[in-house]
Amino acid sequence: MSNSRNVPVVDISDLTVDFQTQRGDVRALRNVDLTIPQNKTVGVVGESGCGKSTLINSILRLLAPNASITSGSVKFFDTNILEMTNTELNDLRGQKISMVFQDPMTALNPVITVGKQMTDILFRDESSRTKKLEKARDMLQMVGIPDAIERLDDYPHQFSGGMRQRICIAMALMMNPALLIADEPTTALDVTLEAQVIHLLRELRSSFECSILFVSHNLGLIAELCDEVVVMYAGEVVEKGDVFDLFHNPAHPYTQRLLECDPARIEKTTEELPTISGRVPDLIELPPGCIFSPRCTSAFEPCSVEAPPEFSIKENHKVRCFLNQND
Amino acid sequence: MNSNNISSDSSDFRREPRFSNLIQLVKNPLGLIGLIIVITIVSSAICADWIAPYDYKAFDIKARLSGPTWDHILGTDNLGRDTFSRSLYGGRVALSVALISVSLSLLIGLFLGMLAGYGPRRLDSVLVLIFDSIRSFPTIMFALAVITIVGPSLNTVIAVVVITTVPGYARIARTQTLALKHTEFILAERSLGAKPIRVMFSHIVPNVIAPLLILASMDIPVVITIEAGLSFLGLGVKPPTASWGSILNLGYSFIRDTPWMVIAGGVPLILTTLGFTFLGEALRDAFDPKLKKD
Amino acid sequence: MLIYIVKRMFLAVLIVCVAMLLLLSAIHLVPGDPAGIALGPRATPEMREAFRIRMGLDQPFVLQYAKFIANVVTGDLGVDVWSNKPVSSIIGAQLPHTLQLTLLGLGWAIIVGIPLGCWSSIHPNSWIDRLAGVISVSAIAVPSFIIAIYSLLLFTVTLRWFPAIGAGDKGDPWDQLVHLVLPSFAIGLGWVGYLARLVRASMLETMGENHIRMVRAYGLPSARITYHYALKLAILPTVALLGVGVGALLSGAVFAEIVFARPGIGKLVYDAVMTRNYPIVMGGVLVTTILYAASTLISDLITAALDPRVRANL
Repeated sequence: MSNSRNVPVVDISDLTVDFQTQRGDVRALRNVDLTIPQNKTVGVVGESGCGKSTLINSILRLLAPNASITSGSVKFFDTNILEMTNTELNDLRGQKISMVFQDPMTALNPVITVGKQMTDILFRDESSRTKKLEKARDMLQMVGIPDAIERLDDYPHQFSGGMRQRICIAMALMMNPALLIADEPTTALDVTLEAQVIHLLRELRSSFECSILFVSHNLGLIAELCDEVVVMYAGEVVEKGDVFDLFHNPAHPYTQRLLECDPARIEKTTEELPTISGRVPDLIELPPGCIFSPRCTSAFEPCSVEAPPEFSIKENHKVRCFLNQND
Repeated sequence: MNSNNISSDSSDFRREPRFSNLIQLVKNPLGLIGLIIVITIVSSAICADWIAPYDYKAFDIKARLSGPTWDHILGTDNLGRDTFSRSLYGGRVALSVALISVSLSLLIGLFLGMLAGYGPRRLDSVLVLIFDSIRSFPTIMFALAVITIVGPSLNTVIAVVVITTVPGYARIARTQTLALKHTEFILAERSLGAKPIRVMFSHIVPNVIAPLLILASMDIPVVITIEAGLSFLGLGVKPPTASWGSILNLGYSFIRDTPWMVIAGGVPLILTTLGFTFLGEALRDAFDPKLKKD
Repeated sequence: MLIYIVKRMFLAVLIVCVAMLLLLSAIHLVPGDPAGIALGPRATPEMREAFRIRMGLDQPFVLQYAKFIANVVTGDLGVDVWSNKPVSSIIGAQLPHTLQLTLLGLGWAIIVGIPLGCWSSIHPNSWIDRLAGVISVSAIAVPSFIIAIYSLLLFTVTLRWFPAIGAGDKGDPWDQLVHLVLPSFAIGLGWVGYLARLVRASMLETMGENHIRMVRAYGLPSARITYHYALKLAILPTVALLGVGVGALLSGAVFAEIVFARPGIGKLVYDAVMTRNYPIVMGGVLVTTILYAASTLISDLITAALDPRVRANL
């Protein structure tokens, strides 16, 4: 595995995932291309059901039994995760790629002490229990949990939601992973806690030198934390690129509408909140053409006929939209 | 991000039962079997007068303790009474006891549960203590004690069953009432001046009734079992009334003479309890998947 | 933790007291004369009066209740109406038989039911799982006394594999065991169903929870996840159920005892009901109620020991 500066930590290429359900096959992800460079933070934004969860579950192969990856590859540096054996996969999980979950209240086992849960993660480590506890204590201190030593004997319910999320972050970084996946880590927290967690992530990012894949539906957080951003809609990547660029010059109509609808960005007082009309399409019976075309106000001829390929606006800004065809 | 879905689905509470749930019920194979069995048993009990070849009291000493013959499809008991006919009438006893006690328990439990949930805290504590005390009685022992005092009869059985099952209904009703009491729409209604009774009837009852009905459907086989058990002990129906339990009682005494009374008397009981249980489970799965722990 | 134990014990005692209060008041609320019912229609007024005095029924209710509680605390449950022997010793002699039966019945239910439930949860919706499900539901549905009668019919009357009556020779443990086989099978069968279903459901629910997803994402070995992280949580409802089970079986054993003519509390109380032997009936109900409360108390305490959240929510 070459670790030269240019090899991306994770390179997802043409990933397509189906779920078998009673009603038929649901195409949850279609031809997704996504690259996470080393030491960068990539944001994934999209509404519920756009495939964010499927995407991150695919990276660590934590998909439900009725899911099947029908095409594509997920490369961790140079190795395809989808072809790894179970042993290699378990080696990857928690050590090289780790994850912070959305709901801190249910992410920790309620009947096992925090210290035990943290040292259990170090099960591959041959060192003594004392050493592992020390490591756990150090991590807790690093994420700002006071009285770390005593608190190792406490149970999760004895911590507040914000603290539990910090514990989860501590656990995720304990083995110095190359990639930290944060699945909407602040959605369940109130605004103050949210700010603290984001702040913490920023600090840790520099001390730990890892990449972060930050999934959220909150554009403001993405703008604050991420270097690059990927916009997903109904299982597809519709636009991706450098965060500054994308937010100031959104190329895809969906991205544009998203930014318009963000309450934080509304400048004039209005009577109604802007929304995007229409509904998310049925992922079993996909409409032909561009997936967003039924709801797109700028749709024209080719949009309902064939699915647009990816066009480059700049070197680091790509979009799937016929409107940008000649760029 | 926002789309136009104004998701107002604050239904943490049960929805009103829908037709689609019924279809789901029928799709479940065990549920279907249960439904068929229940319909068969219920109709045969209702039509016992027409179907039964003999009067359940009529005896024919010459034909006593026989196995199945052309005259008596399921054989006869020690007095020569036709087991098949007695089984049919036994179904009546079982079903009427079940229906009466379950309905009473449900209504009383609903009322007490709502009272406990909606009323003052002290009343709630007292009621909960009483419920827990009743639930701490081992049912059969309690029944035996009551029967000692009052004497055996079918009414005693019904009374005992009702007393011991009310806490189950009351608990569910109370939990639902407590949960709903503090929801926003109830608070809104109360701030508009709606009287408690109105609130209870138009809002709480519809939300509470579904789990109670499901409990009732699962309670029916339990009640039938208790009645059969007590009648088997000779403490339920009085002879010559036929109950599945009393048929089994006689069958047990004469088990070395003929196994047929026990077989013929027990099979309807087994079928009925299985049928109602399958049906009850299927109902629960179809109408309240949250209760189903799959 | 200590506070929890004390609180819980207090609650248990309170519940038993209220239960006995309810029972005692039943005697008084019932229309008709308990003495008349007990002694039958041919009893003379003097006999009835004597009965009433003997039973203490002539005194004010509160006094009766107080006396009753006092007696119970000192272990005096009255005397047998017919033989004048103390009720407590009569019950004491019969209780071990019922306890044996109950523990053996639950024992085999645990040995078969829990692994069955575990296995089903690991292979959900396989055909074995579905079959196990149907068997569980059926075992729960069919009344235990029917199973007792039918197993008597099959294994004793027809096949003559097992003895029909009694508890076996006192000095011979093997003989006693043989006599226990069919009755404990009969009362345990329903509980195989209850346990298998509960364990399956609890395991499935726990395995689907977020924290299990999380340890999977950390690559913890499968066996550790199942038996250490999941089972620790999933076993809690089972512990609670077993607490109820011991109590319920103590009372439900009466059917098995009668069908198999075994000695025990159930048979004792049943015979006492037939002969209107009040003190024994009351004593029997009291003892089983106390044991029921005790077993749920113990299972609650075990749950608290296993689950820190319970200890926190006093």
